[in-house]
Amino acid sequence: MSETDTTSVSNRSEIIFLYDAEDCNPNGNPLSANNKPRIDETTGQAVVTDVRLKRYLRDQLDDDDEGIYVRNPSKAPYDNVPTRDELFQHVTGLDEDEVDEMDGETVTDAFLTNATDVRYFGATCSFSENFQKALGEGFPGQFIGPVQFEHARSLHTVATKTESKQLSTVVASSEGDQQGTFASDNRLEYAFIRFHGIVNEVAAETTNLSSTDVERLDSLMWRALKNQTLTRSKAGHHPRLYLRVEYGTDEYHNGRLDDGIRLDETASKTDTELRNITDAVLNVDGFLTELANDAAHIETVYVKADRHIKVAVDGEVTGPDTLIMELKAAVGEDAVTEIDVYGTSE
Amino acid sequence: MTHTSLNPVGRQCLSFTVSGQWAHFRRIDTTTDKQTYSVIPRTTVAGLIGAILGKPRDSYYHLFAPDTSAIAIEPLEPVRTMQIPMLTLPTEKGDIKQAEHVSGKVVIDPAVIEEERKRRTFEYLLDPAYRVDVILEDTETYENLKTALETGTTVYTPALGKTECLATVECGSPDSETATAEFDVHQVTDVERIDSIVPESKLTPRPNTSYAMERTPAYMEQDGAHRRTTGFLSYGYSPAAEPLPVQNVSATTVDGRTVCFM
Repeated sequence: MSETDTTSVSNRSEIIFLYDAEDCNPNGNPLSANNKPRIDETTGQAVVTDVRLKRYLRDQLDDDDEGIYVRNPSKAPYDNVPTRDELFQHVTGLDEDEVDEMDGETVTDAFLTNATDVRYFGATCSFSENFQKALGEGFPGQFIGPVQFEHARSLHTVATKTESKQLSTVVASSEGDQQGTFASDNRLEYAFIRFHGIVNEVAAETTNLSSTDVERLDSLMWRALKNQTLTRSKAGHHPRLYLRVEYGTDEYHNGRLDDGIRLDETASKTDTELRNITDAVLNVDGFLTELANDAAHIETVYVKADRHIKVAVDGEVTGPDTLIMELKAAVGEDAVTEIDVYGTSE
Repeated sequence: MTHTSLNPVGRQCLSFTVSGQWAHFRRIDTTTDKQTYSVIPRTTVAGLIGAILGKPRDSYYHLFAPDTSAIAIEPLEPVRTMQIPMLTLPTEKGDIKQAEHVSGKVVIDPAVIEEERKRRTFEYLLDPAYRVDVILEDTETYENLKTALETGTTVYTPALGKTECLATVECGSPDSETATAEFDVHQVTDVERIDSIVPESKLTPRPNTSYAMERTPAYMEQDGAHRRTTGFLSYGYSPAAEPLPVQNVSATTVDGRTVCFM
């Protein structure tokens, strides 16, 4: 289990994360026939829930050997499923007797030190009566996550693939079944998806979220999107632009920085013609204006831009280097830090 | 119906716009499908202000009681919803356990979750926005809220009903260039149209006009370690976010708009 530093988060951050999904199903709707991609019927935009994004992040934390409390049910073995008490013991490495000897506050710290996902996203916890007693009164039943993401929508109307594949694999729905079932395969041609999130420094105190945790997000989100999208329905995802705007002013955040990043209507292909990153151009004028307006509140803009993205600034189509330059022009040379996603993990 | 006993006329109110990409105000009268109210309930407005000011859970209900507060709510965007199905936890008897020390939260054993997850539909509002006018008797809270609105600060992350429905709170009107939060409340009589939601008692059905009705929790109080709804409001609203026609009723004006405080 990893050790966590205790440097608390003192700044609020606003995160904008764009990734694209090519010829895949960014977020299936489990209530539709054959898990169709979620689509806003009125606007025709693809929708990806916050739960989907957080699952990628938790799975990446797991792969990085950070402890996670909320495990992936689809990866769990159906036999030998741990109980609530065992989940706690698994993540903390403490058994019931050890827990019994500790006071509630110490147990809480031990839990939060080891359950990295709870520090980010919170959790509701309850255990068997005996175990709850061992935990003591000081252990809260609920942790509210300081990191919150919105459901995301694509920047454009999406087109579903008209050619529907019948899967040739026959999968039995439960163990012992002689006969399996066929499934159809539903995919979108292309979706450029924009997530928006807030890291709240006040709420961070309740889950011991550290400044190291917040810095970890900068590489975690990028790597999660690359590494956790390797299944059949998810292959085709690429992280494209990550921005974490860290505010210096206490309790302040803009709240709509994400609105300023959209597809450039003239430079991009039309919505239904979009097939890959070369067809899309991001218009960032609105974003840059908001940043410049908020420059006095902003301490640092952390940015990672994929080299394939095209950006329209003031009507001119350029690449990621110009975007970095424009960011520096908006908030100051020293207030922009480029993220080295893989530098620290090696 | 419970209603505010505070007379808003001649007072000052704080006015802000709250908007977001998503909202979910859980209807209390549905079971498996998680449907939403169309208009942000008064209790949710109280919670939102609590979040802006950093009030701890269960600590602020008395500030929004009928005799200490008056709130008007104006929907600014047409009602549009989307169903988002999610895998949720079972609610079979015996699966649900109460979390210790947590009011109103239940948990399910992970072993049950991994085997028994159910598909349930959540109804979300898309791109909702409301203009909210608030009168508070507690001067300290009023002044703190005024400062927060004018400086654009919020202690906790504001949300519209659920934490993933991040909200933006703006001072006054969304079109306003200035950061003015405070407005005078004046009385008007013989009003024909009202911009905010209208209490059922002020509505008279008229030919060729349509509006929707809704009944949402309005007041709550602390009840031990839990909270309890103490009053509901029935009101009319326009799903198209247009003013509602009424017949010669009295109302109030705030910043050039006609509203009903509740």
